[in-house]
Amino acid sequence: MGQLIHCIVSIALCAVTDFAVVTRTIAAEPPGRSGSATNQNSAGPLASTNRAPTRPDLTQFTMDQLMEMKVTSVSKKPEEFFNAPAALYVITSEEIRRSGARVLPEALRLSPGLNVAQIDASKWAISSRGFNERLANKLLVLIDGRSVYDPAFSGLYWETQDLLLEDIDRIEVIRGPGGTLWGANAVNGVINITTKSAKETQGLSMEAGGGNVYQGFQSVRYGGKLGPNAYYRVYEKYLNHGEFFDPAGNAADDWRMGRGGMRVDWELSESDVVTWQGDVFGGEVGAKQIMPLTRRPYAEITTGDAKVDGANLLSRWQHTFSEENTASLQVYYDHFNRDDLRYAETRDTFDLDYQHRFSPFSRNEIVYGLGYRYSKDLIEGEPATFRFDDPSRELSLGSAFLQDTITIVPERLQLTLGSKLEHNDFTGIETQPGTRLLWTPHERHAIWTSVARAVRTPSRVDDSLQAHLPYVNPVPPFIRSPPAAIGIGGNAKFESETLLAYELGYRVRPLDRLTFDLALFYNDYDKLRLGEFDFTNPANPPQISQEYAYLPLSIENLMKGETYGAELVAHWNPTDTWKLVASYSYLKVQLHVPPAGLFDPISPTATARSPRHQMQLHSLLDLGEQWQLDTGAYYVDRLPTLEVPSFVRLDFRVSWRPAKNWELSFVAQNVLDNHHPEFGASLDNFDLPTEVRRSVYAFVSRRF
Amino acid sequence: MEKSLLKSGLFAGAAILAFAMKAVFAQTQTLTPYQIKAGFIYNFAMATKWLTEDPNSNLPLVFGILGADPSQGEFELLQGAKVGANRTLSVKLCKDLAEAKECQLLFISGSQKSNLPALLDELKDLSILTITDADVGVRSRGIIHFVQEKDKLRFEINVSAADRAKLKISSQVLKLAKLRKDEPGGRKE
Repeated sequence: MGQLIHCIVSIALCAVTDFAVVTRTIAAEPPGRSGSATNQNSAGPLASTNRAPTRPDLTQFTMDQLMEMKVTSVSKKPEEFFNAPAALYVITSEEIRRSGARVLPEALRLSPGLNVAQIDASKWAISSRGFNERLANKLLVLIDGRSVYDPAFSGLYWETQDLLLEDIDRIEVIRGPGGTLWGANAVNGVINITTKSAKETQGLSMEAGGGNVYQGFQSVRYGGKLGPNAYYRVYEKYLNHGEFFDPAGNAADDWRMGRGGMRVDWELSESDVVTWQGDVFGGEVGAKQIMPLTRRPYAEITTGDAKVDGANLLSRWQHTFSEENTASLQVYYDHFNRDDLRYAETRDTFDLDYQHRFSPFSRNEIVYGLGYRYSKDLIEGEPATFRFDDPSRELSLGSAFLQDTITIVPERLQLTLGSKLEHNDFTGIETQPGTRLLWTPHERHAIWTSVARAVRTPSRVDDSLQAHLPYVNPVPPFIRSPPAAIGIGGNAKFESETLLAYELGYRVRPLDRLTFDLALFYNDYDKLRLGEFDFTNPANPPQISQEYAYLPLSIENLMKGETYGAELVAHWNPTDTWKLVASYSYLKVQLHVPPAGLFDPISPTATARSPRHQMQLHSLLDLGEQWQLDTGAYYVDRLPTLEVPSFVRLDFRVSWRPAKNWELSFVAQNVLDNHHPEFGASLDNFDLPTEVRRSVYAFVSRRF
Repeated sequence: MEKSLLKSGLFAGAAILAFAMKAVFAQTQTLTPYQIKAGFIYNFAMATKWLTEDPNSNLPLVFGILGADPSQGEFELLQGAKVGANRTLSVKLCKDLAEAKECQLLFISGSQKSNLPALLDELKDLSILTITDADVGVRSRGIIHFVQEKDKLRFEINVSAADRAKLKISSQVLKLAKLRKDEPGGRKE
């Protein structure tokens, strides 16, 4: 211990006395809420820049040499986010384009440390730092400042969340808690998707192609000018996705989705920008589900299509008082409708959000925000096996946050303190304080640490769902006899799940073209959801007959747990025409069920629903002006409780630009085997998993 | 299975590493966009004759920057650079238009966007080589505009404007530029 203290003291002394190193590092800012951000700069509020230390003699170059020099700012991204005091990875639009991803959830595979698993052709389980499932409830997702987290089922339906991928400016993936700025349910991570402004997407862009899995897809986008300072774009996208492989035959998970939308950015004056944007979508999503029956054979497998549609409209006004004083006011409306095999859900959401960032003193930067969200839903299922106490419910959410970033030693040491206060209808007021410390002893080194609290607030499911789980042989994961149905009973007294998270990170840039980013975390969870069999509740009594048992299960906050792990990312640009990104992540989940009692067997399997080891290697290579060759390799560890073996995924993309504006691309994904599973039976919707197939497709794009 | 996988992964990694190391050492120096622009500006200074001034002058040639320096100091790397037998380049951050009028070369920053057309009109009859980034939207005014085409930097020269400013730009430079002229009957954006 004494040694440790000595070590820390000497490091701190180094920092204070290290004035000799003349560097210019713009102080990092806290993780930004770029979607609704006060900063309209394309680099986003997380951006900070480091100067190259070399001072070349600029008079030595001839005109011809200068004409040949490339203006790509290499390793731009790792530098921009080098000083963010959080475990952050930014997926750039170039990385998305070159990954071969056709839909948004597939693009998220690019983020190190995130676990992206396809359950079937149309369903994804995506989570950060554990607890993965189809409706992973500890991950918050925002698209241009609009939350797409569903408060009824606590999670999101990834198949309905899509965009024209080429219009995405960047995806910030923050692993770890973000509750201080973003609010509830940003427990294990935040995914913040920001699209380009209409000004950046001018002209006509068209794409069409197909293959064996992505059977047909096309998109058109057009951007134009409405006036001297007003720009717009409109887009349309359609995808017809084929089935995956089902060992039992008929996978029935093919799906079709169409969407369209617009965005207008109007620069009212030098200091005011108004944005309007909106999307509509609709489609049918194939599913194969196991449905509980209250009679023999207690469960049946049903196939069919879920019908989904939705629309949203968002307006944002950003005002710049000065470079250090900006404000934004945002309002959005979101509607979605899902007619699934087992239930139908409709939700309308209205959200108002105000944020203000300013520097009252030279060493303080304060951000505060106020928000209000109202939503109303209607959820109807088969009354005997799936219903809520109130089919329709109105939910309101009020929030306020304050964060101060204090520069303790200029360019060296920065402390961020903040908290969010939120009021929800289930548990009342929740506080989510957090603190982050950033130390930049040198422009090539950044060390950060964070302690933060985050909560996962109850959903409608936790609060008031009355549903039957099928409990019959031999359908996994419910594989025990005798035939019985488990009845889930929502618990109005269910409290928020809580997390206290400790993080430590280190980034180093040993060479101009090489960056390492290491994050270590220890998460301490309390009040995790665990179902307890409760045979004494008069409102939900057990029923036992000769051929049928009904066992009531009450949703309780009975589980504790810890997770810990490490994530290491390396960026290397060996040349201007070649980029490499490699990553490794390790995750250990430990859960503790009370010693006495009868509990649901599924919740504790979260220990193994996320892979312990994951590795990725991406290579983006330009071969001259016309050709690109990109490779992605993934290793994902096994998921023992879901009986999913480890797998290696290998993807290739080749593109050729035969002429200006034209590009032909060929993509092969999962080339190493014919099919393999990535995830098991979903806990939430009783979807039966299928296996990801080798996918090959080609497409042509034309941009004007 | 996992062991052999690991092994082949290690081999592949080592091969990539070896190839990449080679590539790194073969790599030439890279410059930031404004360093490249500074290189161009230095060449412009060498290739331009100010017809109104004494050809044997050995006063420093003044390169001014008007508005917030977008190069964040890169342009200042040209301070003291030799532009002739007895001539050096002097880099100056101009506070106002009056100071700008005393320069021979002038880079006008995008921060002056709102009054840029007016500024350039004010300077157009003076013997000043005005340079801007084309994306700030004043291609109809001024003399040289930097244009990025894909990942290469190009420049346009408005030869009519150069004539008006009594500047003679060498044919070597004109050959590499995209040439523009004032359109008869008005300026074209």
